[in-house]
Amino acid sequence: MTASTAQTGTAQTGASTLDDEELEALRDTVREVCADAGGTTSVRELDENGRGYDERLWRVLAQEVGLAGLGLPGPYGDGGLAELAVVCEELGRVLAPVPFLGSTVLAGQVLARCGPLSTTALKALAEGQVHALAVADADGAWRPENLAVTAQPAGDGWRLTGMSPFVLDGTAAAGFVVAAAGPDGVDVFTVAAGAPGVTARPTECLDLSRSQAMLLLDDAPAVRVTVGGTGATAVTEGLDLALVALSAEQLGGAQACLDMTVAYARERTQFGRAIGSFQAVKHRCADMLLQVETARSAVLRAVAVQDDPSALAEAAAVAQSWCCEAYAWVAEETVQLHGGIGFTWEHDAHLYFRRAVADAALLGGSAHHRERLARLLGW
Amino acid sequence: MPTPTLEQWREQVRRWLAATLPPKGFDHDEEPDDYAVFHNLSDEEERALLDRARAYQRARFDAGFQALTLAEEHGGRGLPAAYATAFAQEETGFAVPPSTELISVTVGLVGSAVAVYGTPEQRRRLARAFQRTDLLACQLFSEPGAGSDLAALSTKAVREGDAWVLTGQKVWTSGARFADYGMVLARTDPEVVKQAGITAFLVPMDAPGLTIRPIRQMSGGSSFNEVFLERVRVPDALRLGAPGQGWEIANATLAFERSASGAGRRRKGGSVGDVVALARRLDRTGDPLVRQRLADLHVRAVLHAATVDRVARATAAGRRPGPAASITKLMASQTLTLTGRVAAEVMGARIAADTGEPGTFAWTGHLLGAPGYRVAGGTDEIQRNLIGERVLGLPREPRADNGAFSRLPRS
Repeated sequence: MTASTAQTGTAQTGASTLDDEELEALRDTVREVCADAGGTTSVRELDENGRGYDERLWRVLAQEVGLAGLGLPGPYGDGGLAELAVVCEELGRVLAPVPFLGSTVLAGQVLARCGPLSTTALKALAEGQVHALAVADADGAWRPENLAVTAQPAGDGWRLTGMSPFVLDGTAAAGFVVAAAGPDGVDVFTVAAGAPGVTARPTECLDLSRSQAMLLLDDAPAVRVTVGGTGATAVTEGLDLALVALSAEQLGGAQACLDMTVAYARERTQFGRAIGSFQAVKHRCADMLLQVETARSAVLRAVAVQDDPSALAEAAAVAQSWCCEAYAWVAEETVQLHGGIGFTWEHDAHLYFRRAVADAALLGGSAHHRERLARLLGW
Repeated sequence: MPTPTLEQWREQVRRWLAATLPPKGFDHDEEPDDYAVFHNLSDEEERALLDRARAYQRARFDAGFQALTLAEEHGGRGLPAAYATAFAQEETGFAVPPSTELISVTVGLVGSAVAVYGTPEQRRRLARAFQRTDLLACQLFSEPGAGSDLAALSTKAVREGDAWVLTGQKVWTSGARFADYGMVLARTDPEVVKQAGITAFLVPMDAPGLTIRPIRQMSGGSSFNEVFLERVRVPDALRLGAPGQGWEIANATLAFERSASGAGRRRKGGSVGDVVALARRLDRTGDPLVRQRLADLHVRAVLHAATVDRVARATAAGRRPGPAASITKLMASQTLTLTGRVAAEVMGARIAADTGEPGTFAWTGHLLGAPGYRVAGGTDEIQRNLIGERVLGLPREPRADNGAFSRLPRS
């Protein structure tokens, strides 16, 4: 792999090699591992002062199941977007508190599009060492012209200064993948968590199943892993993959919300009948199904074009435009249709509600991607 | 004849289509600025459209490509649904003459119903003629008092000697003025529960006592008709199925409609591409709010298409299409409604008064037609009931109509 791959836009995601049956087997494995970990109870057991993720569950998924390098090109990993989507959907279904999206997908897919200097970080990441991606601007969106981190050459290395808020899994990370504006334009750098001048300040998060940090860099030593200002392309293309993976996670969460709501509407009795027999409730459930199945179409449509970067960009923007709002709406209706019990801390509805709102803000949100779509379509 | 593999089948279909039709793109008949959801054609135009569609259906019948999913004992090909879907998919590559509602009702609905439920005499005389569109048949199901609740119909049929005398009113009939026969559902026994007292008949549309009156829709045109039956005598030989079997036949007929395919596609209103072209022409694509609306529309349209495609692929591969199949009608009606709304927003005052600029005021045809699409063929509300009950397994509403039909409250 050379730095020019990012410039020419060659996809650096592994290839999807599993057939439908094997993908379903992968799905079953992830589902079983998550069920063994207690499903959503593992979210509630997160130690507030800990690293913000379920280390035991991550060890099983990353090392025993071998998912830490999923979607990365050989020799670091295997599989492609189809596999990533299946895993994200299953993890999203139970809000599994593991850094798969943050490390494997976000940091991994961007690193995979960088030059040969990224191999050290890729190797560590694929072995399960958590890496976090810090490319968002102060609004949490990826706008390469608007970065709040700058890079200066220093001796035979580089120094970074600035800040990046909203770094997913930033409290758990051993390394950061940072986009910064340097003399050649935007490049990608790796930064070690323990290096001088590096502070990952934990932030209080709406989503209780995930941690975020604000990354503060003060003349921090860094390794430049793209050259000549090719970092923006690497990030943009890596993010397109991640947008689809996030959409799959939103699909899984929305499906879980629908399932629990329908089960409740069948058994909860008021006025002498199951509330699901009232059209006011039944029609809302039907609308939830429409949102969920449309989200599934969006994910499958994007997975089908994984090898064509420009088609993928459109499909990823379409998927995020739909899935952010769909999940948020379905989660909100889940609380509403559960009535009083849905408003309690004990019930899982709020955990999904929190995740749905946080996910919609994670990589730009629906309105941002609709505007991107308008540009991609040449309007 | 041994069943071909799906691939062999596609090859056969493609070869026949290539020999019968020009490839897509050689069909320049489409009116450029016609965004109407329900076409408003003169009788002459309607007849010309029907003639072209009938020529294609005849060729299709003669080549053995009609009634694909109907059992062989009923004169069909007895093929799995996947083969009909494959046929429809192959058709999209060719300039298939635009179809009309009357053609699909004749071939898919009435033709199949007569083939399955007809007497040997009816099947010999009529089923083949309907499937080949030598005779055309419309559907006389809905009534002013029986829309979503079709089983509440009150057109009555009374036995008099070797005939039945029909009296009542039918509504929302497409193509009644061009049809030779009408498949009518009538109540023959009001003293049993409503579904059990219905019988199906085939009524010649020129029978004495039968009058047809076009309905003018809110969009201005007349795509549908009311049909009045005033003591219309129908020979018992034109009764379809046994007395009291009408509800079963009606349901089976509507299921044929869902499984039969390839009766041709019909353009319904303006597309997202049309709205984008409109916005470009009016220089509105720089407005951030307009961009949001256009992108939202694009998202819905491509995801609707992707969902339809997902269902077709599953069917074509012999898999069950799953819950996605149940949402496509609702998605279509939502996309259609939004398309009209966004077009209106984009053009501002031009939707309210015709300035003469091409491709602007013509959108009123779309805007005013979309509400009809939300009602036709199962309202949005009925779709949600079906999804809730059949897909999600939610319990039905308790019913207030379990007694004999004659004792039920009616509007």
